[in-house]
Amino acid sequence: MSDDTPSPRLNEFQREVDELRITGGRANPERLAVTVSIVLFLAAVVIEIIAFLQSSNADDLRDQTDMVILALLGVVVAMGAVAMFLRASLTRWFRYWLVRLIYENRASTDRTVEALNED
Amino acid sequence: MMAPQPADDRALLELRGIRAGYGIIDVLHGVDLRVERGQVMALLGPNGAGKSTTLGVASGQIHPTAGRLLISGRELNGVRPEALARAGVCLVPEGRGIFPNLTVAENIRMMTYSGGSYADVQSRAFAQFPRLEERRRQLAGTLSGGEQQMLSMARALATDPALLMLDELSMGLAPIIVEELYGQVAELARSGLSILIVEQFAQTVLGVADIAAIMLQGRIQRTGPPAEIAEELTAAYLGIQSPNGGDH
Repeated sequence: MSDDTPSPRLNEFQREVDELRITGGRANPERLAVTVSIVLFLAAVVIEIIAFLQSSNADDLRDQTDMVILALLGVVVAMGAVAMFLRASLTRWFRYWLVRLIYENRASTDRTVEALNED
Repeated sequence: MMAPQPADDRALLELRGIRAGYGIIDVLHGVDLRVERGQVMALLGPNGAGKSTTLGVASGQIHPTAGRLLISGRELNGVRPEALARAGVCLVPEGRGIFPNLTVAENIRMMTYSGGSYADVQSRAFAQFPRLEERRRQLAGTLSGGEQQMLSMARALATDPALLMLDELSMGLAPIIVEELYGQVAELARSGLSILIVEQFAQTVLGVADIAAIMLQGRIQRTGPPAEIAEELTAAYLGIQSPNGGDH
Protein backbone atom coordinates (compact mmCIF):
# COMPACT_ATOMS: atom_id res chain seq x y z
CA MET A 1 0.00 0.00 0.00
CA SER A 2 0.95 3.64 -0.22
CA ASP A 3 3.87 5.00 1.71
CA ASP A 4 3.95 8.58 2.99
CA THR A 5 7.49 9.05 1.70
CA PRO A 6 7.49 9.02 -2.10
CA SER A 7 10.22 6.96 -3.78
CA PRO A 8 12.78 8.70 -6.06
CA ARG A 9 10.99 7.17 -9.06
CA LEU A 10 7.67 8.69 -7.93
CA ASN A 11 9.34 12.07 -7.44
CA GLU A 12 10.74 11.84 -10.95
CA PHE A 13 7.33 10.76 -12.25
CA GLN A 14 5.70 13.75 -10.54
CA ARG A 15 8.24 16.07 -12.16
CA GLU A 16 7.65 14.55 -15.59
CA VAL A 17 3.86 14.78 -15.20
CA ASP A 18 4.14 18.43 -14.15
CA GLU A 19 6.20 19.15 -17.27
CA LEU A 20 3.84 17.36 -19.67
CA ARG A 21 2.39 19.56 -22.39
CA ILE A 22 -1.24 19.00 -23.24
CA THR A 23 -1.69 19.40 -26.96
CA GLY A 24 -4.87 17.47 -27.74
CA GLY A 25 -7.94 17.25 -25.60
CA ARG A 26 -10.81 16.57 -27.92
CA ALA A 27 -12.55 13.28 -28.47
CA ASN A 28 -12.84 12.52 -32.18
CA PRO A 29 -11.13 15.71 -33.51
CA GLU A 30 -11.81 14.75 -37.15
CA ARG A 31 -15.56 14.97 -36.59
CA LEU A 32 -15.12 18.59 -35.45
CA ALA A 33 -12.91 19.35 -38.46
CA VAL A 34 -15.52 17.90 -40.85
CA THR A 35 -18.27 20.01 -39.24
CA VAL A 36 -16.13 23.18 -39.38
CA SER A 37 -15.22 22.53 -43.03
CA ILE A 38 -18.91 22.15 -44.01
CA VAL A 39 -19.78 25.39 -42.19
CA LEU A 40 -16.87 27.17 -43.93
CA PHE A 41 -17.98 25.88 -47.32
CA LEU A 42 -21.54 27.13 -46.76
CA ALA A 43 -20.11 30.51 -45.66
CA ALA A 44 -18.09 30.62 -48.90
CA VAL A 45 -21.23 29.98 -50.94
CA VAL A 46 -23.00 32.83 -49.09
CA ILE A 47 -20.00 35.14 -49.76
CA GLU A 48 -20.14 34.28 -53.48
CA ILE A 49 -23.90 34.99 -53.68
CA ILE A 50 -23.46 38.33 -51.87
CA ALA A 51 -20.57 39.28 -54.16
CA PHE A 52 -22.61 38.37 -57.25
CA LEU A 53 -25.70 40.32 -56.19
CA GLN A 54 -23.71 43.36 -55.07
CA SER A 55 -21.61 43.45 -58.24
CA SER A 56 -24.78 43.31 -60.39
CA ASN A 57 -26.10 46.39 -58.59
CA ALA A 58 -22.80 48.30 -58.65
CA ASP A 59 -22.40 50.98 -61.33
CA ASP A 60 -18.99 52.13 -60.25
CA LEU A 61 -16.02 50.06 -61.44
CA ARG A 62 -14.32 50.51 -58.03
CA ASP A 63 -17.33 48.91 -56.27
CA GLN A 64 -17.27 46.07 -58.79
CA THR A 65 -13.55 45.56 -58.08
CA ASP A 66 -14.35 45.29 -54.37
CA MET A 67 -16.92 42.62 -55.15
CA VAL A 68 -14.41 40.72 -57.29
CA ILE A 69 -12.01 40.73 -54.32
CA LEU A 70 -14.84 39.52 -52.05
CA ALA A 71 -15.65 36.75 -54.54
CA LEU A 72 -11.99 35.71 -54.62
CA LEU A 73 -12.02 35.59 -50.82
CA GLY A 74 -15.04 33.29 -51.05
CA VAL A 75 -13.15 31.01 -53.45
CA VAL A 76 -10.18 30.88 -51.04
CA VAL A 77 -12.48 30.02 -48.10
CA ALA A 78 -14.16 27.30 -50.20
CA MET A 79 -10.78 25.81 -51.18
CA GLY A 80 -9.65 25.86 -47.54
CA ALA A 81 -12.89 24.15 -46.48
CA VAL A 82 -12.48 21.43 -49.12
CA ALA A 83 -8.86 20.84 -48.05
CA MET A 84 -9.89 20.60 -44.40
CA PHE A 85 -12.73 18.20 -45.25
CA LEU A 86 -10.45 15.94 -47.32
CA ARG A 87 -7.71 15.94 -44.68
CA ALA A 88 -10.11 15.00 -41.84
CA SER A 89 -11.90 12.34 -43.91
CA LEU A 90 -8.66 10.79 -45.18
CA THR A 91 -7.10 10.81 -41.70
CA ARG A 92 -10.07 8.86 -40.40
CA TRP A 93 -10.03 6.47 -43.33
CA PHE A 94 -6.27 5.79 -43.18
CA ARG A 95 -6.41 5.26 -39.41
CA TYR A 96 -8.97 2.46 -39.86
CA TRP A 97 -6.94 1.13 -42.79
CA LEU A 98 -3.78 1.02 -40.68
CA VAL A 99 -5.55 -0.80 -37.84
CA ARG A 100 -6.98 -3.27 -40.35
CA LEU A 101 -3.53 -3.93 -41.84
CA ILE A 102 -2.04 -4.50 -38.38
CA TYR A 103 -4.78 -6.97 -37.47
CA GLU A 104 -4.52 -8.80 -40.79
CA ASN A 105 -0.75 -8.99 -40.42
CA ARG A 106 -1.12 -10.36 -36.92
CA ALA A 107 -3.72 -12.92 -38.02
CA SER A 108 -1.46 -13.98 -40.88
CA THR A 109 1.47 -14.48 -38.50
CA ASP A 110 -0.76 -16.51 -36.17
CA ARG A 111 -1.79 -18.77 -39.07
CA THR A 112 1.85 -19.26 -40.10
CA VAL A 113 2.91 -20.11 -36.54
CA GLU A 114 -0.05 -22.48 -36.18
CA ALA A 115 0.89 -24.24 -39.43
CA LEU A 116 4.54 -24.51 -38.33
CA ASN A 117 3.50 -25.99 -34.99
CA GLU A 118 1.28 -28.57 -36.68
CA ASP A 119 4.20 -29.86 -38.79
CA MET B 1 -5.77 20.25 16.46
CA MET B 2 -5.77 18.87 12.93
CA ALA B 3 -4.91 15.24 12.22
CA PRO B 4 -1.53 14.76 10.54
CA GLN B 5 -1.83 14.59 6.75
CA PRO B 6 0.12 12.15 4.60
CA ALA B 7 3.09 13.66 2.76
CA ASP B 8 1.26 13.46 -0.57
CA ASP B 9 -2.42 12.53 -0.78
CA ARG B 10 -2.63 12.83 -4.59
CA ALA B 11 -3.71 9.59 -6.21
CA LEU B 12 -1.40 8.31 -8.92
CA LEU B 13 -4.38 7.86 -11.21
CA GLU B 14 -7.83 9.32 -10.76
CA LEU B 15 -10.80 9.34 -13.11
CA ARG B 16 -13.67 11.64 -12.22
CA GLY B 17 -16.99 11.34 -14.02
CA ILE B 18 -15.33 10.07 -17.20
CA ARG B 19 -17.52 9.66 -20.26
CA ALA B 20 -15.93 8.23 -23.37
CA GLY B 21 -16.60 5.97 -26.31
CA TYR B 22 -15.92 5.28 -29.94
CA GLY B 23 -17.38 7.71 -32.47
CA ILE B 24 -21.01 8.26 -31.59
CA ILE B 25 -21.19 5.24 -29.29
CA ASP B 26 -20.68 6.05 -25.61
CA VAL B 27 -19.14 3.21 -23.58
CA LEU B 28 -18.28 4.90 -20.30
CA HIS B 29 -21.11 6.74 -18.56
CA GLY B 30 -19.40 8.55 -15.70
CA VAL B 31 -16.53 6.43 -14.36
CA ASP B 32 -14.98 7.34 -11.00
CA LEU B 33 -11.79 5.46 -10.15
CA ARG B 34 -8.80 6.12 -7.89
CA VAL B 35 -5.49 4.23 -7.78
CA GLU B 36 -3.27 5.30 -4.88
CA ARG B 37 0.51 5.32 -4.92
CA GLY B 38 1.88 1.81 -4.55
CA GLN B 39 -1.59 0.29 -4.75
CA VAL B 40 -2.69 -2.70 -6.81
CA MET B 41 -6.25 -2.31 -8.05
CA ALA B 42 -8.24 -5.00 -9.82
CA LEU B 43 -10.94 -3.77 -12.16
CA LEU B 44 -13.35 -6.58 -12.81
CA GLY B 45 -16.42 -7.04 -14.91
CA PRO B 46 -17.95 -8.97 -17.79
CA ASN B 47 -17.14 -8.52 -21.45
CA GLY B 48 -18.36 -5.16 -22.77
CA ALA B 49 -18.46 -3.46 -19.37
CA GLY B 50 -15.99 -0.77 -20.50
CA LYS B 51 -12.85 -1.97 -18.71
CA SER B 52 -10.52 -1.73 -21.70
CA THR B 53 -12.00 1.64 -22.65
CA THR B 54 -11.22 2.83 -19.11
CA LEU B 55 -7.59 1.80 -19.62
CA GLY B 56 -7.65 3.55 -23.00
CA VAL B 57 -8.69 6.78 -21.29
CA ALA B 58 -6.16 6.35 -18.47
CA SER B 59 -3.34 5.83 -20.99
CA GLY B 60 -4.36 8.83 -23.09
CA GLN B 61 -5.33 6.75 -26.13
CA ILE B 62 -9.01 7.64 -25.90
CA HIS B 63 -9.96 11.22 -25.12
CA PRO B 64 -12.95 11.55 -22.79
CA THR B 65 -15.99 13.52 -23.94
CA ALA B 66 -16.62 14.61 -20.34
CA GLY B 67 -14.99 14.22 -16.94
CA ARG B 68 -11.41 14.60 -15.71
CA LEU B 69 -8.31 12.43 -16.06
CA LEU B 70 -5.90 13.18 -13.22
CA ILE B 71 -2.40 11.72 -13.09
CA SER B 72 -0.52 12.38 -9.88
CA GLY B 73 -2.87 15.26 -9.10
CA ARG B 74 -2.60 17.00 -12.48
CA GLU B 75 -5.49 17.14 -14.94
CA LEU B 76 -4.28 15.66 -18.20
CA ASN B 77 -7.34 15.50 -20.47
CA GLY B 78 -6.02 15.52 -24.01
CA VAL B 79 -2.44 14.53 -23.24
CA ARG B 80 -0.72 12.62 -26.03
CA PRO B 81 -0.42 8.89 -25.20
CA GLU B 82 3.27 8.73 -26.16
CA ALA B 83 4.07 11.60 -23.78
CA LEU B 84 2.22 9.83 -20.98
CA ALA B 85 4.00 6.55 -21.76
CA ARG B 86 7.37 8.32 -21.73
CA ALA B 87 6.55 9.81 -18.32
CA GLY B 88 5.87 6.36 -16.89
CA VAL B 89 2.23 5.37 -17.51
CA CYS B 90 2.48 2.04 -19.25
CA LEU B 91 -0.28 -0.12 -20.72
CA VAL B 92 0.07 -3.80 -21.55
CA PRO B 93 -2.83 -4.19 -23.98
CA GLU B 94 -5.27 -7.06 -24.32
CA GLY B 95 -3.96 -9.93 -26.40
CA ARG B 96 -0.36 -9.26 -27.26
CA GLY B 97 1.26 -5.90 -27.35
CA ILE B 98 4.21 -7.22 -29.28
CA PHE B 99 5.50 -7.22 -32.85
CA PRO B 100 5.23 -10.88 -33.95
CA ASN B 101 7.54 -10.46 -36.94
CA LEU B 102 10.42 -9.09 -34.84
CA THR B 103 12.69 -11.08 -32.55
CA VAL B 104 12.46 -10.88 -28.77
CA ALA B 105 15.55 -8.65 -28.63
CA GLU B 106 14.17 -6.35 -31.35
CA ASN B 107 10.87 -6.05 -29.50
CA ILE B 108 12.74 -5.01 -26.37
CA ARG B 109 14.98 -2.66 -28.34
CA MET B 110 11.89 -0.71 -29.41
CA MET B 111 11.36 0.35 -25.81
CA THR B 112 14.43 2.58 -25.98
CA TYR B 113 11.98 5.26 -27.22
CA SER B 114 11.51 6.13 -23.53
CA GLY B 115 15.06 7.46 -23.44
CA GLY B 116 16.90 4.57 -21.75
CA SER B 117 19.90 2.93 -23.35
CA TYR B 118 19.49 -0.44 -25.06
CA ALA B 119 21.69 -2.11 -22.44
CA ASP B 120 19.56 -0.73 -19.58
CA VAL B 121 16.27 -1.64 -21.20
CA GLN B 122 17.51 -5.13 -22.04
CA SER B 123 18.96 -5.87 -18.61
CA ARG B 124 15.77 -4.68 -16.89
CA ALA B 125 13.61 -6.87 -19.14
CA PHE B 126 15.77 -9.99 -18.81
CA ALA B 127 16.12 -9.55 -15.04
CA GLN B 128 12.34 -9.85 -14.69
CA PHE B 129 11.92 -12.66 -17.21
CA PRO B 130 15.15 -14.69 -17.60
CA ARG B 131 13.35 -17.11 -19.94
CA LEU B 132 13.21 -14.37 -22.56
CA GLU B 133 16.99 -14.08 -22.59
CA GLU B 134 17.23 -17.69 -23.75
CA ARG B 135 14.86 -16.84 -26.61
CA ARG B 136 16.25 -13.44 -27.52
CA ARG B 137 16.90 -14.38 -31.15
CA GLN B 138 13.54 -16.11 -31.64
CA LEU B 139 10.69 -14.44 -33.56
CA ALA B 140 8.19 -13.12 -31.01
CA GLY B 141 5.26 -14.59 -32.96
CA THR B 142 6.66 -18.10 -32.49
CA LEU B 143 6.80 -17.87 -28.68
CA SER B 144 4.16 -19.64 -26.59
CA GLY B 145 1.18 -17.57 -25.39
CA GLY B 146 2.64 -17.24 -21.90
CA GLU B 147 6.05 -16.20 -23.22
CA GLN B 148 4.44 -13.62 -25.50
CA GLN B 149 2.61 -12.18 -22.50
CA MET B 150 5.91 -12.18 -20.60
CA LEU B 151 7.53 -10.27 -23.46
CA SER B 152 4.66 -7.83 -23.44
CA MET B 153 5.14 -7.24 -19.70
CA ALA B 154 8.93 -7.12 -20.06
CA ARG B 155 8.60 -4.41 -22.70
CA ALA B 156 6.44 -2.40 -20.32
CA LEU B 157 8.73 -2.88 -17.32
CA ALA B 158 11.82 -2.03 -19.36
CA THR B 159 10.67 1.61 -19.36
CA ASP B 160 10.65 1.70 -15.53
CA PRO B 161 6.97 2.70 -15.27
CA ALA B 162 5.37 4.42 -12.28
CA LEU B 163 1.92 3.10 -13.17
CA LEU B 164 1.47 -0.22 -14.93
CA MET B 165 -1.87 -1.14 -16.47
CA LEU B 166 -2.51 -4.74 -17.46
CA ASP B 167 -5.42 -5.61 -19.71
CA GLU B 168 -6.68 -9.20 -19.52
CA LEU B 169 -3.32 -10.71 -18.66
CA SER B 170 -4.82 -14.18 -18.33
CA MET B 171 -6.67 -14.23 -21.65
CA GLY B 172 -6.16 -17.48 -23.54
CA LEU B 173 -3.48 -18.80 -21.17
CA ALA B 174 -3.32 -22.01 -19.17
CA PRO B 175 -4.06 -21.58 -15.43
CA ILE B 176 -0.50 -22.53 -14.46
CA ILE B 177 0.93 -19.81 -16.74
CA VAL B 178 -1.56 -17.29 -15.37
CA GLU B 179 -0.43 -18.16 -11.85
CA GLU B 180 3.20 -17.68 -12.85
CA LEU B 181 2.47 -14.30 -14.44
CA TYR B 182 0.54 -13.12 -11.41
CA GLY B 183 3.46 -14.25 -9.27
CA GLN B 184 5.53 -11.72 -11.21
CA VAL B 185 2.82 -9.09 -10.72
CA ALA B 186 2.83 -9.72 -6.96
CA GLU B 187 6.61 -9.30 -6.94
CA LEU B 188 6.29 -5.99 -8.81
CA ALA B 189 3.63 -4.86 -6.36
CA ARG B 190 6.01 -5.53 -3.47
CA SER B 191 8.52 -3.18 -5.12
CA GLY B 192 5.97 -0.34 -4.73
CA LEU B 193 4.79 -0.05 -8.32
CA SER B 194 1.17 1.09 -8.76
CA ILE B 195 -0.74 -1.41 -10.86
CA LEU B 196 -4.21 -1.36 -12.37
CA ILE B 197 -5.28 -4.79 -13.57
CA VAL B 198 -8.31 -5.43 -15.72
CA GLU B 199 -9.68 -8.96 -15.72
CA GLN B 200 -12.89 -10.83 -16.48
CA PHE B 201 -12.04 -13.75 -14.26
CA ALA B 202 -11.35 -12.73 -10.72
CA GLN B 203 -9.87 -15.52 -8.65
CA THR B 204 -6.18 -15.12 -9.44
CA VAL B 205 -6.12 -11.33 -9.61
CA LEU B 206 -7.91 -10.88 -6.28
CA GLY B 207 -5.02 -12.66 -4.61
CA VAL B 208 -2.58 -9.88 -5.53
CA ALA B 209 -4.89 -6.84 -5.35
CA ASP B 210 -5.13 -4.35 -2.46
CA ILE B 211 -8.50 -3.11 -3.67
CA ALA B 212 -10.97 -4.20 -6.31
CA ALA B 213 -13.80 -2.62 -8.28
CA ILE B 214 -16.68 -4.07 -10.24
CA MET B 215 -17.56 -2.43 -13.52
CA LEU B 216 -20.86 -2.96 -15.29
CA GLN B 217 -22.38 -1.16 -18.28
CA GLY B 218 -19.82 1.63 -18.31
CA ARG B 219 -19.98 2.46 -14.61
CA ILE B 220 -18.11 1.44 -11.48
CA GLN B 221 -20.72 -0.37 -9.45
CA ARG B 222 -18.72 -1.05 -6.32
CA THR B 223 -15.23 -0.63 -4.92
CA GLY B 224 -13.92 -2.45 -1.87
CA PRO B 225 -11.57 -5.03 -0.40
CA PRO B 226 -10.94 -8.02 -2.69
CA ALA B 227 -12.64 -10.48 -0.34
CA GLU B 228 -15.90 -8.52 -0.33
CA ILE B 229 -15.75 -7.91 -4.05
CA ALA B 230 -15.32 -11.63 -4.73
CA GLU B 231 -18.77 -12.24 -3.21
CA GLU B 232 -20.37 -9.33 -5.04
CA LEU B 233 -18.81 -10.36 -8.31
CA THR B 234 -20.66 -13.66 -8.34
CA ALA B 235 -23.90 -11.76 -7.82
CA ALA B 236 -22.99 -9.25 -10.54
CA TYR B 237 -22.32 -11.98 -13.10
CA LEU B 238 -25.43 -13.92 -12.20
CA GLY B 239 -27.64 -10.84 -11.94
CA ILE B 240 -28.93 -11.66 -8.45
CA GLN B 241 -29.24 -9.78 -5.16
CA SER B 242 -25.82 -9.64 -3.50
CA PRO B 243 -25.37 -10.55 0.19
CA ASN B 244 -24.43 -6.90 0.90
CA GLY B 245 -27.70 -5.63 -0.47
CA GLY B 246 -26.46 -4.34 -3.84
CA ASP B 247 -28.82 -5.21 -6.66
CA HIS B 248 -26.99 -5.87 -9.89
